[in-house]
Amino acid sequence: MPASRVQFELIVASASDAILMLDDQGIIGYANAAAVSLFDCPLDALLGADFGFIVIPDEPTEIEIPCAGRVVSADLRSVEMTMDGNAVVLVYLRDVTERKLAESALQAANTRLQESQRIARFGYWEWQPQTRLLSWSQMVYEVFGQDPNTYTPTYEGYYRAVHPADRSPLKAAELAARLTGVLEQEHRIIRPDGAVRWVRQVARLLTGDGEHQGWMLGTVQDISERKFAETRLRDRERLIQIAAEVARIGGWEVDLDANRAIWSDEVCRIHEVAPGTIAPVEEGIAFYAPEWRERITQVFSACARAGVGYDEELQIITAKGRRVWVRTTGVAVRDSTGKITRVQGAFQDISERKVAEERLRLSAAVFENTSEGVIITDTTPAIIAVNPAFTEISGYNTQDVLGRNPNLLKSGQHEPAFYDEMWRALLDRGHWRGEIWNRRQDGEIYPQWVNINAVRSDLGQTTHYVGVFSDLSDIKRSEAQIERLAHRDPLTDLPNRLLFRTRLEQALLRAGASCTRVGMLLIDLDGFRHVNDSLGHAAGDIALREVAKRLTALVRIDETVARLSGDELALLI
Amino acid sequence: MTTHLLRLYIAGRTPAADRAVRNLERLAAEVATADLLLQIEVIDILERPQLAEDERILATPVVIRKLPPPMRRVVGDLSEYEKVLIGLDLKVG
Repeated sequence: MPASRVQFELIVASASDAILMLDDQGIIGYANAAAVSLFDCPLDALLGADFGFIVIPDEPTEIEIPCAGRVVSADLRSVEMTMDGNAVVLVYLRDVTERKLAESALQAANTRLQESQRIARFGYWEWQPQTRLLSWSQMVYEVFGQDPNTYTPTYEGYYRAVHPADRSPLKAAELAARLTGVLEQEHRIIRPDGAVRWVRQVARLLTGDGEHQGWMLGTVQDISERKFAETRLRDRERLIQIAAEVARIGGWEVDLDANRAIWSDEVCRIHEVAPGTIAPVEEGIAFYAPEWRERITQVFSACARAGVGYDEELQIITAKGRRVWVRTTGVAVRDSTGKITRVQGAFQDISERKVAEERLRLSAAVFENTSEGVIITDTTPAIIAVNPAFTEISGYNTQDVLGRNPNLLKSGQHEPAFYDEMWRALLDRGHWRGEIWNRRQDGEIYPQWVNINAVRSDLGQTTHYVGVFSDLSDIKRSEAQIERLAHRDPLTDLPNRLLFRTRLEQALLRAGASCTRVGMLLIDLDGFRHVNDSLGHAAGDIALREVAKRLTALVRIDETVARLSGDELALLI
Repeated sequence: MTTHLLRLYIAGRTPAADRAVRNLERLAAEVATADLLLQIEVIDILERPQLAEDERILATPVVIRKLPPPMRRVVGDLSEYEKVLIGLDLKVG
C-alpha cells in the first residue's frame, strides 16, 4: 500500500525513536523531533545531509553517532519503501547509550567481583540435591587446585578432597544446615598436588516452594594464610610462654600517669597472685621484703624521674608469704615529646641461682680453708685448681702447678704398675684411694693418704678429677715412735727383752732349719749398784749407755745386743 | 587500472565496527581484479574527532568513497557486499 508523506509525518512526528527518511541517494529528507535531539543538531542542518546508504542485516545493528564531541550509541533499523511514488528508506534509531553504560558498568562490576573473589580467594558454588548438579565458579576450581576444563565437580568428589579428619565434622554441619538453613564451617582440603589448604565454607539452604527449593548456595574461601599465621602465632606464643615458665621470667610495665602496674602471667605467678593482676605501684613495691623496699623505691623513682635504668637482685615476699629472690630490671619509656610516661622491665625468679650461688660459696670456703690438700684437674690431666692447703703441704705455689700434669709431684717410690692400677680404678669405678709417696718442692719425700674422685657430667662423661690428700708424715713418725717404744729400751736404744726374745726365737728357728748353732751371752755388770748408789742414777745411766755403745760396736750387723733389765744385757751371735 | 580509496570511519572498536572492517576487507579481496583495486583506510574518529566534523559524518561505521565524484557513503556493518558495491557506485566486472 503506497503511503502518503503527510500521513507518515503525522504518525512519526512525536515518536520516541529517532526517525529519518532518506532518498535513494542516502540524503536526509525528513527528521522527526527525536532525531533532532539524538543528533543534537538543528533540523536545518539535518535536512539535506548525506547519511549514506545503509547496509545492515535484518536485525537492529548498533551504530555510533558522533556529535558535539561525544559518541552516542544507537540501534539502527531501516526499511525500504515507496512514498508518494518515490523509493525511500526509513531509518529508525533508538538511543542505547544508557543501556550500554549500564551494561558496561555491570561488566565492570562483574569483573571487579571476580577480581575481588580472586584476590580474596573467594569462590561461589551451587548444589542442587535433586539433580545432584554441583557447579563451581572459576575460583572454586583454583582453591581446589583443579582444572575447569577437565574436572567435573561432584558432591562425592568434594568430600574426597576434604581432609579425612575434617570429613565427619563437615558432614555433621551439613546435616545441621538442612534444619537451620545455614552452614558455616572451616576445614582443610587436600589438593591433587598434596598441598593442604584451609577453606571456609559459608552456605545457605534455599527454602520455600520455589523451583530452587532445597538448593544450597555457598561460598568457599581459601583462608590458609590466616590459619597458618594463626598457628604460627599460637606456636610462638606457646614458646614464649614455655620460655617464660622455664626461665621463670616475666615482663611488667608501669603506666606512670595512671599509677598502674601491669604484670605478665609469669610475674603474677612469681608473686603468687592470680594471673592478670593489675596493681598500683605502691602495692607492687610492698611485695618487696622490708629490708629491700627502700632500695627498690630509690631505683624505681630514679628511673621514672630521670630515666636511669636499673638491674637489681632483691627479695620479695609472695602473697603466700614465701621469700623469693628476684632479679628486676627497669628502663624508662618516653613519649614523642621526651617525657617519661612508662617504666617497663623484666622480672625473674632467681631463687635457684641464689641457692646454687650459696652452695658454691660454701664449697669455695671449704676448698679454701680445709687442712687437706685439694687438686682439681681436667681429664688431660692438667691441674686447673689447687687450694692453700696443697701449697702448705707440697710447697708448690698455685702458679707453679696450674696447667701441669700432677705427676710432677711423683717421688719415684712407686712402680709404673702402681699408677696403672690407680688409673684403671679411676677409669672403671671413678675413684681411688690409697697411700702415695710424693715429693715436696724442697725434695723431701713424704707419704700422703689420697682420695681421688672423677667428676662426671649429667651425661656420665668424666669432666674433672678431684684429689684430696692429707700429709701422713706426722702419723708415720708417730707410728715409728710407738714401734720403738714397744721394742726398744728407751735409755740405751737397745732391743728390750721382748724384741730379744723374738729375735732369739727367729734365730733358733733358722738354726733348726739350717742345722747351724746359735750363741747367746748373758752379761751382768759387776758393781753397777755401787755406781748408782755412789754417783747417782744419772751416772749409772751414762755408764749403761756407754756399755751399750761399746757392745754394739763389737757385734756384727746381724747380731743383737739387748738390755733385758737393770744391768743385765744379752748378746745373740 | 582503477584504484579506489575507501575510507572506513569507526568510533571505537564496537562489534559493528569490527564486523565492518572484516566485511570491507573481504569485499576488497573478492572484487580485486587486474583492473580494479580497492584501497582501504580505517580511521577511528575517537582518535581524530575533527575528521568526523570535516566529513560531516552522522553515523559510524561508515565507508566513504570520495573519488571519482560524486562522493558516496555507506553506513552499517557492510554485511551484504552487493549492496555495498551499489551504495558506493562501484562497477564490478
